[in-house]
Amino acid sequence: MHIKKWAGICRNVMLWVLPLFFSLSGGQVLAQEMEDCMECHGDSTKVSKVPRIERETGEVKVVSMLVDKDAFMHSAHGLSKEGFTCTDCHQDLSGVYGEHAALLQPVDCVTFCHDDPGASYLEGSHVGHMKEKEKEKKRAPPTCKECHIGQNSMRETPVKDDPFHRGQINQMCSGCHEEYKLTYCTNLHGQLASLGYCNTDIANCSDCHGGHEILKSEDPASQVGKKHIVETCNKCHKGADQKFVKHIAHPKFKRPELYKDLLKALKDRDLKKIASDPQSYLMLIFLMYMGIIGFTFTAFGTHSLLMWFRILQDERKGEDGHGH
Amino acid sequence: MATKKEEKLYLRFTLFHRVSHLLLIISFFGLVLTGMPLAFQGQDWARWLYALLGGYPTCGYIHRICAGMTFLCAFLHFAYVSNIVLRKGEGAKIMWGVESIMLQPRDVVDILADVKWLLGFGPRPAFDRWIYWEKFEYLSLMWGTIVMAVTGFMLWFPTTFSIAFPGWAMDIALVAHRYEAILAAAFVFTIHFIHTHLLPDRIPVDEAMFTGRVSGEELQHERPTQYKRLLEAGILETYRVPPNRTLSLLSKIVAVPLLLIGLMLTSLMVSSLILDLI
Repeated sequence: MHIKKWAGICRNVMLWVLPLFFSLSGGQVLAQEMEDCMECHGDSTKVSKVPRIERETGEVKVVSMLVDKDAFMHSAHGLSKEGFTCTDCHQDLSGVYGEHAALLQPVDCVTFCHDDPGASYLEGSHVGHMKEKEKEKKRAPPTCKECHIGQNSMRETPVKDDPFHRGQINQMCSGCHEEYKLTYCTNLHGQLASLGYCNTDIANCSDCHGGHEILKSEDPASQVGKKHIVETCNKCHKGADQKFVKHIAHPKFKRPELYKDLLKALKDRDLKKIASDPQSYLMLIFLMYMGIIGFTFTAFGTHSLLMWFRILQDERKGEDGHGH
Repeated sequence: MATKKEEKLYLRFTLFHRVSHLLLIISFFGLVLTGMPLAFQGQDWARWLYALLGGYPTCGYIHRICAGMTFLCAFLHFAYVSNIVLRKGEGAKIMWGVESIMLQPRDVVDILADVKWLLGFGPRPAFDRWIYWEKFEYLSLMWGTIVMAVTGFMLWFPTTFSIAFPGWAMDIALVAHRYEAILAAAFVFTIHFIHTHLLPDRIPVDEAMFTGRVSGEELQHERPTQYKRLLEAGILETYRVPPNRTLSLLSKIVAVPLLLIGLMLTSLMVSSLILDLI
């Protein structure tokens, strides 16, 4: 009887209590806190700098494995109410304590969390185009992490309106669209951005052209296309109408291409094309001012110089110059 | 120093003109210092200067306040002119003749005489109250203020102006605003500075526009026709004023740093333009 009773108790314990015990405490035992990772990654004597090959560009960078927890807590993921920890992104380290393999799986932003902009970005025509040009440009289309990079480290994913992030986007775009960056900087938006002011009240590339789904400006569905441009300008310029949006966001009067195009149009006697393009008017005003500036400083510069020497000469002669 | 004390001083600029000029200096420097970094956005000095003055949007506010001061100057000037024309009935005198700052047939003769002197073929020309380049400077200031005000307002209220104009009118305004500004700043900081302050016979500062006073000797040397005219009419002594040492010292203290700032900014602008071309 006694043995049977004890065996029954033991069985019950095995069947119910132990699993219950593990399941209650299991949460704490299995899931890693940030502190577990920070034990090593927060201590500069325990982690080192390692080389990393950027897969999109082939660049080799030396990155420190030291983690700045404070900076992480101020990044988009750190600020999130979800309370993300290291292994939420580095899932291959889930349940791994102590030393781990040097090479981790690249973090997958899209599959479980950011499938929403991820899909529209990956399936958009811009990425398609970038893939086509991959060999020519010697770089693959940017991944999430390339644009949404932190100031000091990749992991410090900035929030959407972070000025550094907004400036970084301009940098990224101009990696391929150098021409457009130069013309953008000739414009008021770009002047301020180029001086380092990238707050939300100064339009950056993606404010006008879109962030994840970028279409050609000729496409009516584009943010700067016929259908949406009034709406896009109205984000900042309340009351912008069909007339307002004829603004030239990329003035080309300083670019040699414009003058090549003009010469070509002149050769073809296509005066209509020249007259209908407002860029020609900007160019005219620009050239007019270059002429005025050139003339003014040649004339008055010579005058000032000559006058300087003449006065010195008059003084040396001891005359007051009037001949008496 | 003893001779200087006995120097006869004559009033060339009234208090009104001096105050207007001072207002213009303050607003012009404010406008140029907060505006030029935008035109030279690619340069490190532009970044530094813009941040030094408060960055965005502070610099924008300073720029608009200084623009307001320029409008005040323009308003005061036109009030002054209309007072002379309408109430004193002396419109003919300020528009034509020796006292007028408008271009006259006489200026052609002056220019020719000046060229002759500069090339070493003749004596220093005998100018009257306003030398022809001073007239150019005055007229270009008037023209420049109009251009800068119109284009500046277009850039300040783009959506309002797009009721009447297409959006690219604002881009034209930006181009005009930028190059008119470069023209004006570079002109004032080089040609105007040299002509009025930095010539060998009066470097570093010509105090006339600050103290309002010129010595008889200077007047006779620089504007002999005016001197002779006033002497012969017997009204020269009505312009006699006592010296003002404090004002003289103050004008040096204010003007020398401003001259240096202007010259430094111009050298930065010119070197950036040249480096951009290379």
